Amino acid sequence: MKSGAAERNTGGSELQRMATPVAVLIEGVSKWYGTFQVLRDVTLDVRVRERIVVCGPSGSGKSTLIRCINQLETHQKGRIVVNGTELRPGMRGLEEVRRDVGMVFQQFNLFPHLAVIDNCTLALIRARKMARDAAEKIAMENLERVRIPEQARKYPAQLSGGQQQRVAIARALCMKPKIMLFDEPTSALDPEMVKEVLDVMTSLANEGMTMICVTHEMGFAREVADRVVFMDGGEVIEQASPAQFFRHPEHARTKKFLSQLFINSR
Amino acid sequence: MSFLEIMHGIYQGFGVTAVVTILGVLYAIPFALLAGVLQHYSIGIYRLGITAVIEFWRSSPAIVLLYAFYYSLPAFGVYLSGIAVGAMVLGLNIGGYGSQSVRAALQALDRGQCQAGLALGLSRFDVLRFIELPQAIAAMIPTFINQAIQLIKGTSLVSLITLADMTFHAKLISERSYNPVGIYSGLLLAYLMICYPVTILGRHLERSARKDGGAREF
Repeated sequence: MKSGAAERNTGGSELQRMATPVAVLIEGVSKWYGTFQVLRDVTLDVRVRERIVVCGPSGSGKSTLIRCINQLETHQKGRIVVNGTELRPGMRGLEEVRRDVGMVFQQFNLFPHLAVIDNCTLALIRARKMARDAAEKIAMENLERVRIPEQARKYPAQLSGGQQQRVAIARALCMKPKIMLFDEPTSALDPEMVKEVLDVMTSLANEGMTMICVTHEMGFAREVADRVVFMDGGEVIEQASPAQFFRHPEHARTKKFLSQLFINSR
Repeated sequence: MSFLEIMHGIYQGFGVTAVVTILGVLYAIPFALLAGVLQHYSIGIYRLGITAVIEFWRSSPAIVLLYAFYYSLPAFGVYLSGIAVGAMVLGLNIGGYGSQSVRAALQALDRGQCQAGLALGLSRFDVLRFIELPQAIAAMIPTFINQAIQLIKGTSLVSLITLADMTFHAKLISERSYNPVGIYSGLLLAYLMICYPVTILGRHLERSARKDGGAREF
């Protein structure tokens, strides 16, 4: 057990947490697909520089929840406030909100017709109206940040899965987001490539990035997260510091989920 | 009549065939792109509207459209030249088919492409322009070439609205020389000699699109 995780759960840090500005506020959010309810009255607040890991069985609504934060999915009830802006269906200025919220997908979703560097500069040039030179400079800085600058002129199909996901992280970082969302970033990777992506995510966390990660990488959760949120059936069942979450889970469903993970990882 | 004389006679109409084809392409490509994109993205009554327009051009026989527009428009006080009517009707007819390959190519794209663009803060239009269409167009090249060839062959119909294209000239010399076998065989060859290079161009475009995966700058 890393000592950092235990320290983060002291009463002092909770006070400190409450004094930190809110990055994402999710309040009583519900969502339905037809008659099927995917999110049930979810409430969650994420402070600036906080690292949250969301876990839970598949179909528990965790991906849907983080997709609501940049409105790739719309919610039907409740409030979501991102960097001080409340998100509403059909709102104006959603693009500005999204520019401050980076997202990394399970399937990478790089643009296959553009070289790595053009994947990184597209939104800078088109959304931020930046000159190509300046955009390429930022792109190279971020490709260096994910340790892959030598691949800048290649196309996504020429890279391994791990490299592609690191490019996807660099592409999101180019926009200088205030918050990063990760939607199962390592689930589509071959096992030997998981580490290189998690390493990049860990150094990002150490730089103080506000992060919300949907992941089953419990080692990452233990090491990096300030808080682990467990979801099941569209509800937040439990949230706690990693130390408490893994050692003393409160709810029966959390215990069952953890025991299954434990069995699977053996 | 020697073979060379026949071919010379037929190619007197090459200019008209070429002009109708080129103008037709200028109608077909914008119509196919616009209609395909609109049909893919619009919903409800708008979708119904654009589908009706596409189906009108796609589901009517080209020859009937030609007659209808060439002979009935003047009744409404609209006077268009044969070339204008021929190019528009044939172009939009082929464009109607083309719109369906545009729509199919857009539908075949992974939804994650659009979502990744939106998540970066691009507008929906920029996502279409820089992410979806470049990939869709690369996938559409083979069908578009096919349809260009259909259009070239389709121009033979304009001889029926008095335009002096290659088919018209063949009919003309056939009536004069009473050698239908030689002349119409020559006409077959004349179209083949135009269409085959287009096929080769198509293969070349396809190969280069495959090689770079449709890669481009934006």
